[in-house]
Amino acid sequence: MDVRKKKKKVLLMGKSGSGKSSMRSIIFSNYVAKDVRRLGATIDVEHSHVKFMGNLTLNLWDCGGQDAFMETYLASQRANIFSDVAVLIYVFDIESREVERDLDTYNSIIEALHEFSPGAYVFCLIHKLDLIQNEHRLRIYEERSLLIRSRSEHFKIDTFGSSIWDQSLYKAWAGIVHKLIPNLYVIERFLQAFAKKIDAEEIILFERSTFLTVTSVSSDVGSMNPIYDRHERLSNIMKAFKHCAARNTHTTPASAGFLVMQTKTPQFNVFLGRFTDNTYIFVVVPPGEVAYNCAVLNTLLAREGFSKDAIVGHYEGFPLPTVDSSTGKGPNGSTHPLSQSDTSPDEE
Amino acid sequence: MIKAIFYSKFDTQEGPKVVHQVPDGAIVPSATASPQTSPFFTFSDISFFVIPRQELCGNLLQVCTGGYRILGYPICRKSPCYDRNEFIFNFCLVLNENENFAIYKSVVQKLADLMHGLEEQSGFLSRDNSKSGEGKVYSLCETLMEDLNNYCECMIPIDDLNTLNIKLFPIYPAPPPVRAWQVPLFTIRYETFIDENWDLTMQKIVPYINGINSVRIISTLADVDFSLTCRAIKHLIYYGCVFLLDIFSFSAIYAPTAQFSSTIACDEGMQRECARYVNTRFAPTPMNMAPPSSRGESSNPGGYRYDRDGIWPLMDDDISESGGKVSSTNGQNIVDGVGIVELYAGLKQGQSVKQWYALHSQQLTNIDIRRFITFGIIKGFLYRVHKYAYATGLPAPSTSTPHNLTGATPSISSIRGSLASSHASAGDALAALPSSDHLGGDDHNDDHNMISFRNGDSRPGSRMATPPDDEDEDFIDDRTLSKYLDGVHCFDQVCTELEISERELTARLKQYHCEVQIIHR
Amino acid sequence: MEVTDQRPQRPTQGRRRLSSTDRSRGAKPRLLLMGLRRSGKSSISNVVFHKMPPSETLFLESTTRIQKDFIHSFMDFQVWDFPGQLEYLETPTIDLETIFGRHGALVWVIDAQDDYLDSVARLNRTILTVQQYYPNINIEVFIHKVDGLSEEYRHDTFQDIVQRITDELNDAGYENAPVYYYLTSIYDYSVFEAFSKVIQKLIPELSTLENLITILTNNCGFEKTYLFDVLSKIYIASDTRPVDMPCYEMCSDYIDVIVDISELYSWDHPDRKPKGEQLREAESHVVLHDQTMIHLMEMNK
Repeated sequence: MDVRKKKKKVLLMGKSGSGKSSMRSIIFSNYVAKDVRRLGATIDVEHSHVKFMGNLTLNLWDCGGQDAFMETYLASQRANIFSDVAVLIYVFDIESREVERDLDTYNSIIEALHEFSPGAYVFCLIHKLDLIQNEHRLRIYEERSLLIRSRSEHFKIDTFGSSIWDQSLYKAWAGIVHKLIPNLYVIERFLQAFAKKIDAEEIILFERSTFLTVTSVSSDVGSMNPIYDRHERLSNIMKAFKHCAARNTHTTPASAGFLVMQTKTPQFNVFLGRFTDNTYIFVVVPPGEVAYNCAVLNTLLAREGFSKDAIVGHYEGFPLPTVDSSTGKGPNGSTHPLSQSDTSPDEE
Repeated sequence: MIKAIFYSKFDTQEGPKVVHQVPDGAIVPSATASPQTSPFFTFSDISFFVIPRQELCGNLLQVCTGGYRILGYPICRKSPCYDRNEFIFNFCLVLNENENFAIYKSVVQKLADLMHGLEEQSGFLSRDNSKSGEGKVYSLCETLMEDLNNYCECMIPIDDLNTLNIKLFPIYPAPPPVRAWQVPLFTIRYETFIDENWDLTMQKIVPYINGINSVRIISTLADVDFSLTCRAIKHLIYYGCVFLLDIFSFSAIYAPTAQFSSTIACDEGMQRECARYVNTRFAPTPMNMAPPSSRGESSNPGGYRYDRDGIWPLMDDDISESGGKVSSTNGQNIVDGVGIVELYAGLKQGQSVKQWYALHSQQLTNIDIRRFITFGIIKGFLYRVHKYAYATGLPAPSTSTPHNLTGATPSISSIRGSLASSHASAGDALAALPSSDHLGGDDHNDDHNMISFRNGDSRPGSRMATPPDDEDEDFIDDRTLSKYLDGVHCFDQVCTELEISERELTARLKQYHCEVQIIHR
Repeated sequence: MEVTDQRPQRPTQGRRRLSSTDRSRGAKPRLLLMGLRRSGKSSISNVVFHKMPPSETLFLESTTRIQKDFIHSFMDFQVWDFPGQLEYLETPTIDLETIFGRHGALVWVIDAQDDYLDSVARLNRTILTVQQYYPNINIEVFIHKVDGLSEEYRHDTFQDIVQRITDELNDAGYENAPVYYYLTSIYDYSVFEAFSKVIQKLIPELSTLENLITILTNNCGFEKTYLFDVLSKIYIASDTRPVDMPCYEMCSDYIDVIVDISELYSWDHPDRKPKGEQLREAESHVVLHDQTMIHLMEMNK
């Protein structure tokens, strides 16, 4: 529990105007992409606490990227800024004309980070990809990411290409968030088992306020889906609709949302609903009225088991079904709804 | 002294940046500065306070570092026409840390407001791309610093429409509140200052400020709202033009303060000044009936215009040089320095002015008693012993037990005892006083007469004050009276607010349903 | 039958149907978008029919010739731009018959932010010509780009344009001309709304549809029901209750959500097999934070 309660310091750094505050506003403050034009520059460091998945609080340090600020981070503020860092997110502007200089700055930051927080994760976002013509995007992204890797000596880094105008932003941040959630494998094992039980093609868990993908599992068929960025696209679609709902019901985007959404089409059926306090579950099953209704019921039941376990404190809120629980019997309540899936078709 | 002035702005690429600095090299190292100048401090250490985050802009910010104080007023102008939608700038003054910076606060604020306006009108700052140490903005900083340091003011034309006018004003402490029963007295000759551009209220009230009229009376005579009168007088006090006295009355008690021995008692100059001030021969007219405006000069302790022979001190050099010891040949009528000190020393706790006068009437023939007392108050070697009433809550005693303590400790007396002994028939006695008409000090009656002309105010149960021989007990009920009987309301206040004379108040207190103690202090 | 039915039923807001008009009749109404250069015709067609974000229309190049837009929808749609001073309707190269032969509507776009006198004059000439030969054509005027005008100025402009056109037509002896006016902008839903009104006039079965929808709405206790064209998000019919913009916007955005999600999961693969019986038509609903529910049902392809 201590590890969870402890605030994880997330540094958001990069050259001025590279888009740090813009993406932060979109992901965590319910801004829409066109609104970020109105943002002002970040002066010094802007601290914010972002609640994520309930008891995980991200202590986000958005660091203004002007040269003068960078100098103080590396000099007088060095220990203050770089100690206790869990994650460094470094944003590169793809349009920058001073690539070498940017990389030098990045390298000094990496060295400072190594000095004070050698265990931190490093993510590099190559941002504003929308400004590059579609056919060159991949090539330029890969070249740039190679360069970056060559300059990040002590760290094994992840790179993402991103743009606030499409789902790539969600992909990048989902990747980051994924790394920050403790015991994620517990959740994943549960979802895997659950997906198998209800014959789902795909199950995605979204964080409630940001609609970032926490994790997802796919069946063999489901993983053949040719649209690779579908999770990020979903985040984007749902968040856009959330804004629309907020606008038209006269509430803030933060308080707007959906309780449940169901869609049946001849190709697939989808159920989206609140799972835990902080997550939505998105279930894709093949068409078939009866099977679909079972899946929905089971999801609702699984949710109950989930929250029950959360209260008891088992597995810190995430029930861990025994992976070989094909018999439908498990040590805890979470398998209970699963076992029902065998019987519920008869009830319908 | 302003050590430096600099103009800093937020550059969207470089961050906080010093654009212009006077003198060169004072804030950040500069290639053009002479090699021996080094910056006063490290700019990056304090840049957060010079260019703070947006929410802090629009406030006066100061930061001290390395013995310097930096005063600034950052401005953040938001507009889509700027890169990153904002233009943040700050004109800062650098002072010595221990220098009094209060007067410079308004300078930075005014400078910031003016620049904000200029930027809004024409992009004065954001379009200024001149190099450090050049251009309009730089020369403005330079002139500002020179002028303020040398002349304490500046008038710098910026363009056809805008001029930077700044003057350093000394800042005085806020004046104490003005009370209705206080009596303002000019310490300067206001006629030499007043002109038709003065505030209208001020113009109306100044003729009535004469050291005799209380604030309440001034507001009535001038037909000016009471609160406005207070405010106007507060302004006069702020600039040291007016001194607040108490209401003079023959029943009042005055006593020397601890400063007595160190001031008038040994200071011949002051004795002489006093003699000139109090001598009735200097007074142009009898005081009580004269139009107030004609007495303006009388309120100036240092201003003596009526030099005549035959009084002490003589204006002849030889006599004034010979000092206060020489008494004049005119005998008793002229009081010399020693006499003055003796007279002052005669004032003491437990003795009203009237009693004191009775003892010294010979020496006081040519002395304006009101001025005599006032002089002591102004110079601070005399103080008024105020009377406070305190309702003990005990039933009214049938027999009086006077505890008339005099001296340094406050004297407390049960009302029935002390009133009978010291203040009985104060009003009646005044009429019999010799020369009271031309002394003009008969404030008690004067005050009382004024009061009786006035209509009652909104106070419930109030009505026109009645002549002293009328019974007015019916009209001030115990409840109204009781709130003054907590020992913190002096008689002057009670009388002014209830619009009765002191004698009436005393009489009324005797009727109060329980015991009332009078405290002198 | 549905799981959602087990929960306390809240007022249902808007049931919509995906629809296109009857193909069997084979006579699609025809829509012609006309107006002076840079009046916003291409922007309108791109926003309404091609889902272009309004902000991107700034970069559209001006249309240089007649652009035929074959939209797989229930109507033919063409954008005309009028180059130069040509009396286009008189030019023999243009076959008026094929354009106006069927029933349809002529939508004239006027840029309200520009000097519109020329546009009004041309419109009047067009009206007189069209009316002469093809009286069945509806004349619809979009007073466009009103997003940049203040509420008051918007109203004045509207009045002025209507007055001018009416006066000139009266002078030409064409009184009580059936010309309809709309204030539109691509930055809100007003242009969709205007198109909806235009198209509704072209549907002969409108009154029947409206009656049916109203009956449905009343009997089921719905708050509002729209019949939508999925592609353009124009509503073809709705019940007789007043149209509520927020509700319309939400429904129209919800259609986007469904269409977008469908794109993600409708891939074809031999291993994807249904697990049972299901209706052929898509169906979807969402319950919002304030318990309102939007239900969508596909009516036909």
